[in-house]
Amino acid sequence: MTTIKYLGKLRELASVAEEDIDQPRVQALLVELSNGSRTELRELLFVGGDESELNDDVEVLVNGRNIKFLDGMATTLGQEDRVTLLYHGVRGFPGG
Amino acid sequence: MNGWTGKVLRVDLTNGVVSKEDLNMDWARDYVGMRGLGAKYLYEEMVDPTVDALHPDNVLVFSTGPLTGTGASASSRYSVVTKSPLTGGMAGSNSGGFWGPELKFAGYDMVIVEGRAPSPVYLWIYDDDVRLLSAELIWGSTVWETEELIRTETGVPDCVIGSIGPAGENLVRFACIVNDLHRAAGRSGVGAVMGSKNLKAIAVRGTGSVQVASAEGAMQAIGSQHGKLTDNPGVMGMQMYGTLEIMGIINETGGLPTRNHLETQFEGEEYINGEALSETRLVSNKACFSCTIACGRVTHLPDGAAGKYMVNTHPRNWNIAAEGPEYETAWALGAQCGVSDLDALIKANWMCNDLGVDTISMGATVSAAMELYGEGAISEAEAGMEMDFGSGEALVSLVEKTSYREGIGDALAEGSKRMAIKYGNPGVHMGAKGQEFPAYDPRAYNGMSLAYATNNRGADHLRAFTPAAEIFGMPYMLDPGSPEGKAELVVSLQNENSIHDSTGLCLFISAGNDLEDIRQLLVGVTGVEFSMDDMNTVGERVWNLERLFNLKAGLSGADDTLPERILKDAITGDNNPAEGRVGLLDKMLPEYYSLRGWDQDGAPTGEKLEALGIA
Repeated sequence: MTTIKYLGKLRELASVAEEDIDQPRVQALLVELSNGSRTELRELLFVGGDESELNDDVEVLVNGRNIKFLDGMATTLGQEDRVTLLYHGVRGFPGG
Repeated sequence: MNGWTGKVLRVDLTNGVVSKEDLNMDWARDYVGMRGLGAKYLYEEMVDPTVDALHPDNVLVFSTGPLTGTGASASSRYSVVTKSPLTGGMAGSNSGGFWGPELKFAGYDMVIVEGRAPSPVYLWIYDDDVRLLSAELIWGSTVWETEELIRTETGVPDCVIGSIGPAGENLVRFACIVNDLHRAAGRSGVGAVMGSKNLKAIAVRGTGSVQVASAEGAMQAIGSQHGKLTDNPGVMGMQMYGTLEIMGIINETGGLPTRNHLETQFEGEEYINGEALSETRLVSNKACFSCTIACGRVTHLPDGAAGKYMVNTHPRNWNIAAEGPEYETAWALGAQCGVSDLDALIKANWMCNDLGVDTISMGATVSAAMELYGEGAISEAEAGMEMDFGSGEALVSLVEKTSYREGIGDALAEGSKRMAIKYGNPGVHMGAKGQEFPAYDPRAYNGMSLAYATNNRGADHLRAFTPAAEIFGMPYMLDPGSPEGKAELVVSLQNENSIHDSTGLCLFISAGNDLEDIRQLLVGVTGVEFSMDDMNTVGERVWNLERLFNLKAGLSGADDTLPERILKDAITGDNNPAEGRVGLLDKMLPEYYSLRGWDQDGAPTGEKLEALGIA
């Protein structure tokens, strides 16, 4: 199973720090983890409800590498992979 | 006069004379304010830049910007510029809170401090009433005590105070100047310079205001700036978690220095990150003057039996609550020392603020000492305690011992570079130009290798922050492990931050504001028609002037380097995404010099200086 780690605001919306989900690609994983009652999470992840378009303010890392360096939403996932999700308050400026 | 007050206070401590003079407006237009203008005054007035930083001939400049104290968001900043006792180059450290605006309200852009007082004094500023008062009864007090004592003595409870603690008095090379109890001009040892001058504090009360060129123009620019910060995800994240929000992502990407950079991922990160702090110890967020971000953390420690690390501050200061930690502090006192006990690092943070030491250099120096202890270079007998990585007790104890130069603390007070040399292993110093690294391993994000090595004030993250590009693609995507494109990015960020740091605004508005927003604020407030070209030129001018000062002070291109651990020891660790990376400085530095218009030894060419109007 792929391990998903939620950071910051997304952790609040998911109500868990980590969970395991089995999906072959990033897009399918994001759809599954935002299903059901996680309406706010879904609204934050996708642009206008379009499940193929990731919100610009959300970052997805697979094993510490931004999917922008990989295959984007089509990035494949394996059993041992680790996905980190962040709705960022931190991307453009230093940590203080 | 708009934006600038046009007045400077000059304080001759040796002769006990305070005078007022006009601000040099030609310099103000060329260097704007704060860091840039402070650098210009230091460059012109420090006759011999090779003089020891703690000698009376060093000059200590407190400098606001034209936007300080205006209605612009985060317009709280002032800079302290001087020669650094830690690096031997130019120190420029800025702080928020309320001190800078209060100085403007009193009618002054800058305070220039010269000489050394024969006995401890503090400077009292209440509008036109400016005097040196005896600090003999205050000397020895902590920062928090000092603020109480001065308010009681002067009978002015709402004066704003910037002061040094015991660390500054004891010339700890990374002592800071603290204002408003918890806000610090932290880096480069500016507090030690203040201590060397027998100047305990500058207390200010001002009843005036900052004049603007065009009320309509200023309000329009301010309204636009505020609008871009409101509902911005970056700002909301800062309000919820403070700067500590970044710790999780830095750890995940393999760049969180751990145990003195021996590792770059910390197994205890979950116990000290922004989420942990918010869930267990956060009382409230807190804002500096006119700030709509409010990233400050007010935290508490448990009372009673659970209060192993409890600190009772003065009731006025919330009793068992105080401010911090922000990200750099939580990293330096936490992961870097292997400490995952949040209460220990909160207490150590509070002590740093109260005793007046830079949290980054403090934590990093403790970390280097822990490594020396682990390899047997420092014995338990000499340390007076067990000093293993991970010990919260040792961390807290060492903050106090360092500030008072007690026992082993005397060695730490010299900073990790000098301490490492003393104990025969210079390789444990993790820094550049003698100043300790902040919280981003420069191997994991190679842009930081170049940013640290070329920084005029030594290793630091606030003058060029490349992980934004290397992790998030801001302003564009660059591979973190590659040297490609890093020189251009670092030059651009250094120039941009140099003008930003000269305005009076906090760097954190970058979450929603860009240089054009800042330009509009400057034009609206000052009435000077700065163009974007002017803004970029000012930034480049400030950077080159600082470099020129450093060269005259005795630094050279040879100081643009990094420790062997960074250049030769690859990052290791199972499943660490940065595994195998080293600092590729040699692949970036020549291009950096070329882009800067400097010669191959890292000196600005005559052509470049002429183009920038630097004599």
